[in-house]
Amino acid sequence: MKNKKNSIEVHNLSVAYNKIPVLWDIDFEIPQGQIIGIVGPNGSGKSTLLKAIMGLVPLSSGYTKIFDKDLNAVREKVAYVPQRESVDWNFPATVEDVVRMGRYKPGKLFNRLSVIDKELASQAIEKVKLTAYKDRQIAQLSGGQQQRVFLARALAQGADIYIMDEPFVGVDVATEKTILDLLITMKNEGKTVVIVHHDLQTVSNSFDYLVLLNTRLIAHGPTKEVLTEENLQATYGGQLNLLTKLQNIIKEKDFPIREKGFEDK
Amino acid sequence: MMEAITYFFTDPIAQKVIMGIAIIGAVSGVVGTFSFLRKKTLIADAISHSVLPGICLGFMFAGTKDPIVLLTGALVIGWISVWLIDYLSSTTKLSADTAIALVSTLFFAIGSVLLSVISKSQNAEQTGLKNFLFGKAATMTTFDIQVFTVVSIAIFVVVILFFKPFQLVCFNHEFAKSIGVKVKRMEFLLSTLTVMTVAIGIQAVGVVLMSALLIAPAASARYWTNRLPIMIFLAALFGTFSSVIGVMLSTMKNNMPTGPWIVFSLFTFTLFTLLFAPHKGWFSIKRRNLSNHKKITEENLLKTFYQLKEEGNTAVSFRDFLEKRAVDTHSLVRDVRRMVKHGFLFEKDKTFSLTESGNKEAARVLRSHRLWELYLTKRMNFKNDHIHGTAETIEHLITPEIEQLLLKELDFPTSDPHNKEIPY
Repeated sequence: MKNKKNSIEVHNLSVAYNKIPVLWDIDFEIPQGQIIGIVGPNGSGKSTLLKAIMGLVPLSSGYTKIFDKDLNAVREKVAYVPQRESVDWNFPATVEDVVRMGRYKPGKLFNRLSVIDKELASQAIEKVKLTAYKDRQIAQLSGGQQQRVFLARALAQGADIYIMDEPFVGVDVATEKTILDLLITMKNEGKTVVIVHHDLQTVSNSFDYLVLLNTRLIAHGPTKEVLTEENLQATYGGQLNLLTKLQNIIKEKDFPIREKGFEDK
Repeated sequence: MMEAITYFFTDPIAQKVIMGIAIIGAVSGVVGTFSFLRKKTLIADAISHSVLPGICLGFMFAGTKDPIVLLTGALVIGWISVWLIDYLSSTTKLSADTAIALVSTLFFAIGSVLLSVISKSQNAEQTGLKNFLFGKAATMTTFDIQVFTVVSIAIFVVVILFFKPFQLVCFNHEFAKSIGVKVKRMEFLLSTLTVMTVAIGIQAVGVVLMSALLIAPAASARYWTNRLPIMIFLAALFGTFSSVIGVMLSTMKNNMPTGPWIVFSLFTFTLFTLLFAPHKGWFSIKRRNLSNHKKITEENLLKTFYQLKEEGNTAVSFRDFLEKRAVDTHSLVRDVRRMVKHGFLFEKDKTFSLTESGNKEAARVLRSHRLWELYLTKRMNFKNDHIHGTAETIEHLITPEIEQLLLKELDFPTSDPHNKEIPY
């Protein structure tokens, strides 16, 4: 079962938000060196899945691994791009300030950034075509430019796997193209890119591999195999009525979704 | 007035008080900047109210106003209040602001009770604890100031050392966590710095008003810069100036409590900022509106002259103009005179005509107008009778760069949707 070529392994993962389970027993592996789309409608738990992989939310059950190791062991190889709306862009910082954050390393937070760090940040800014804007206050950027700033920060980290939460939301066509081109370049350099995306109409033909999600795992595999009428119906055909009812009962009764000590390994 | 100022800079005791309050102001500005950026200004207010019982307990424990014991008491109780707010808002259905209001008022009430217990058992005047409510800088002893200075220097050192993790936690805590920063620990450290700052500040500023010294300098500084290091520096500067001026004013007014005067001078600084800050200040916004308005008026004026010329009228009287474009007569006369002065129009026998440069400028505006109308119909599928209004505004915004793009996109057209010639 264990394949050395896995980038991310998610095992029996359940997560509850405000006591409502949003991910039920998710279990899959995804390969390395490809562009992987995690796709599902709004509220399907896509972002929560990424946060679970990044250790940002408490898990009700299961575990996740990156390159067959715990996140803490491979942190330097992982770059996370949060949703653009998750921060206040009025923060006093320039494009360059934010991208340089990608060079911050927890062990060396007291050191000044080296010339190499600054150079890598500049190169990342160049790659997302924002060099002309590097001294701009981030609030003065368009949504697409802000998304590119986040991407540049991830690029500056020089990771092997890039985990991005909805990078195509609210961006202009130019940014969409810049990001897509970059993703392909990254793939050609052997990097793995995992992208949460909410619909299959746009950019989906760039995904090599898909994980279809709607609270439960619908399907995962190479895009061509997974993209069937049946799977799409299951992903986008609304919530499961019975499941929603059960979720409400769990919330009302304040019930745990896993008994203590009953961890299926 | 001058006498009072010379007094502050020559009298050794007054000098010490000024030094003390200056460093407290600076440290409040620095620490307040992080509270402000984390949108935790209400927590800062809650902490300052909550440390009162800590001060009282410290006094009851030591029996004197020993700054080290009082600081420790304030620190412990301050921490408890932060923890309690956090605990209530994360484990109950109470929202954060409700938890803050409940905890801060409860702690303040406990502090008030302890205060009256102390004043019953001892001479309240003698203890001087009442001064902690609204602050009295002059009651700071040399030893107090020495302790406060050491604490302040420690806070500055921590902020310099932890600048990067603090910046990360304030801007994007999910990202911070993703690269392995211990976010909870950093947040705890930031809360601790806030509690410590409040603890050293309350004797001079008072528990009731201390939060103003944390928040106002940061809020003002944000208006003047877009860089975090500069913002921190400015906040420190504003904090220092406001505190020093506040102390001077309070001393001049028959030794009144210091806190209110510091708040007044903070407010003056903030008001000044709101009025005069670049880009976001009131005057800056007004000036921008005025200059936009002026540009629109002038360009419309020249455009009308050009349109009249197209209709064959090259010597335009005020009446001719008003028939073509209904505007206020007084402002028209004024605007026309100004355009004559600027060399865009010339006058002959009470009629006005475009000069060469006026003609060029008018042609540019009309070109923008007609290009934009064309763009709206061709690219945005607007109907012919809907395009004029939009183009009236956009024509004033089109830069030479945009004009070039429009020309290319529309392949250098010669006439607009109404079949009028596009002037080049």
